[in-house]
Amino acid sequence: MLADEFRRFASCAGSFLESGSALHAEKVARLASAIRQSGFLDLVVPVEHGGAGLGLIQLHELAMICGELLLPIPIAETMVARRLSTRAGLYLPDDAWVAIHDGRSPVVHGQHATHLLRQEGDRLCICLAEARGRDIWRTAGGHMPRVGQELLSWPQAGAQLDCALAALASAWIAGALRAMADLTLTHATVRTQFGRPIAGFQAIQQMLAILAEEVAAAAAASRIAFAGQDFDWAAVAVAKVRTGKAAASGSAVASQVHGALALTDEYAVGILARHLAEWREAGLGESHWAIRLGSLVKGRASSPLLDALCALARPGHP
Amino acid sequence: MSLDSLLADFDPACLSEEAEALRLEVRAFISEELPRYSPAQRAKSWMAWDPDFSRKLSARGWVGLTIPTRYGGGGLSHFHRFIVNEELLAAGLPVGAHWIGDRQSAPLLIRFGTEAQRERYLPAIVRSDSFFCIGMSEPGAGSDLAAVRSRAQRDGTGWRLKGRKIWTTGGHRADFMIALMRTSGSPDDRQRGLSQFLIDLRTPGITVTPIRLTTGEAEFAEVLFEDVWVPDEALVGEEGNGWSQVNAELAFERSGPERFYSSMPLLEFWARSAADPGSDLHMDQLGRWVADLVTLRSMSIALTARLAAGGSPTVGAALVKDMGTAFEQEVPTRLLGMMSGAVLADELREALAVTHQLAPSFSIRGGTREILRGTIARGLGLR
Repeated sequence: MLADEFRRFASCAGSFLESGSALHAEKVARLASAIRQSGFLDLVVPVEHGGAGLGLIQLHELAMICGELLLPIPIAETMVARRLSTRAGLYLPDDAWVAIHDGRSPVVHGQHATHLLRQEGDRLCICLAEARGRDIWRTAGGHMPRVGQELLSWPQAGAQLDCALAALASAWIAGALRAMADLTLTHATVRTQFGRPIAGFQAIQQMLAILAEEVAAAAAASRIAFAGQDFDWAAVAVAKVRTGKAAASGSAVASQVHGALALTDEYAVGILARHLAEWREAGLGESHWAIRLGSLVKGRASSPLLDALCALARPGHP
Repeated sequence: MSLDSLLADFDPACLSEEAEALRLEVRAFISEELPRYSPAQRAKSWMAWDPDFSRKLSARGWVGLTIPTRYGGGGLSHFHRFIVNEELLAAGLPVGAHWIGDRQSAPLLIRFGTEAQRERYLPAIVRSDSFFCIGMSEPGAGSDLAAVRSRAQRDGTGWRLKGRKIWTTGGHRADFMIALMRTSGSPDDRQRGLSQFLIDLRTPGITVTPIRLTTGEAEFAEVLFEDVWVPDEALVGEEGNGWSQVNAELAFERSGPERFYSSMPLLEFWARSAADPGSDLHMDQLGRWVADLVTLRSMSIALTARLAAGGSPTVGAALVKDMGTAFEQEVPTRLLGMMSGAVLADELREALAVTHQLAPSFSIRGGTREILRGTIARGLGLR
């Protein structure tokens, strides 16, 4: 399976769920080289441009794995950048790692980006990443990086780069929440208090059930953003709003079950929580998308609310 | 089980194009019917009991859609049923009378009933000639269903029933009840020794007392069995197999759109209310609810596909019901807080009052929130 194969390449440099590993140069370089040689970067590039010609729905699965494993380089974003540029007949440098810079939110994976994908009006452009900006969430991200020389640019009617970033962020959230749930379930069965594993207490079981709900909801919601031929903003809004909610309540449960351990720099739950926070912010937060989505639905006053629900679940269909 | 197998309940699925074709037809019917019902009536959702309306649906072939054609049913897929039901629920039309029979009793009889039972009851469900209720809860057996004390004892060519069921939705209006009874042992035997019986509620010895709710109306009833004799044919499935048969119903009972659309008529009135200027605060809330709904709907469709494939996604269904009912309850609670100051139509206020008063039932009926989370925890291998 595609996902298993990707996971194999993605795991060859070892785990990035350890403190400091996202900035471990040698480890990152090993990951970068494995992914580059895997051929996956051209997964969603059209066949006529030498790619595998797969759709966004396949990208969704891989982006979730990027989130689950906290891969610190902009892999899914580079796939998107290659798809968009080749469609315009332009080719990125082979060794380019492209992060998305929407100018309004953190540049995810910014510390390891060689290039930035930006939007200016109806044009998309690829610029050099000159200074990477501050890594506020300690995720190897980059806050307000300095944009360097423009290498490529092309007209893209109706370009919605904010949608691409928000969609990817929703998939990363779904993947990382999954990892967080696995850690939390394991911890609850190993940690003993009052003479038995805490997973045996009903209060804890109820919390873990909520965590499982949020994991399932995040996976389902983020998938909606990837269901069309291209990113559709309203479908992306559903994904970003619902995964943001899942990240908030899922993280809260995971932290509470772990106790003080969740706050330590040595333990992966805290690291996952920092990434989830960055990704809620990346591509803008829930309110931004919810207001747009609410206004869209409100504006369609002549048709039943159910129509909007059906249409949103099938982006790209009339 | 594990998180992996739980998530597998939600392998993505779409409603089939063929089933989607039915939607427009249903929509046309709804737009004809809708003007007859006030917002307060529509806010009652599937609690509203209207035999004439059920028969109108039957006349169009929309009750018993998944029942095989040899019993008069539609012989269609669970996707067809999903579409018809979500349209009716979203509009808030009174589907309560046929709801239980269509959703739960018919699949139970198809799976466990005798051929004679199927031939007798399924066509009546399809035609909306017979309405069903579920006899599970008792005064001492709510969340702890295995504690049922109502008893059925062999007596000649039949059974003698003694006991009491309570909180039976539609119990005072239904024609038949499928009840969980103890046929051997004592309540200490828990899940063992339970059996299901299909009981004609007009049988001598049965007393049905409606229970008045805070809304001023009665939606459920207490059903007393005093020395009630029923024939052998009343036994559904195997004697002593009641617990596993009841569990097989749960995926049908908990996975459907009625677990997240109960506040939909209210939400629709509010979203369409001309009095609301569409402030950012309100749009933010509306957008969040739409995101919740689209997600819940896609998860429910995934479970529908599992049911269609013959599976019984009990844990996934518990998950959708827990999240769905939390959503349904949030709508009236939040809206009440957002209403202050705005000039709102009386109609909207009435719909809000109805939904707000029914809302506590959402996370009780069909399995309490706590029981559902226990089911999920079991699915995660924690108990």
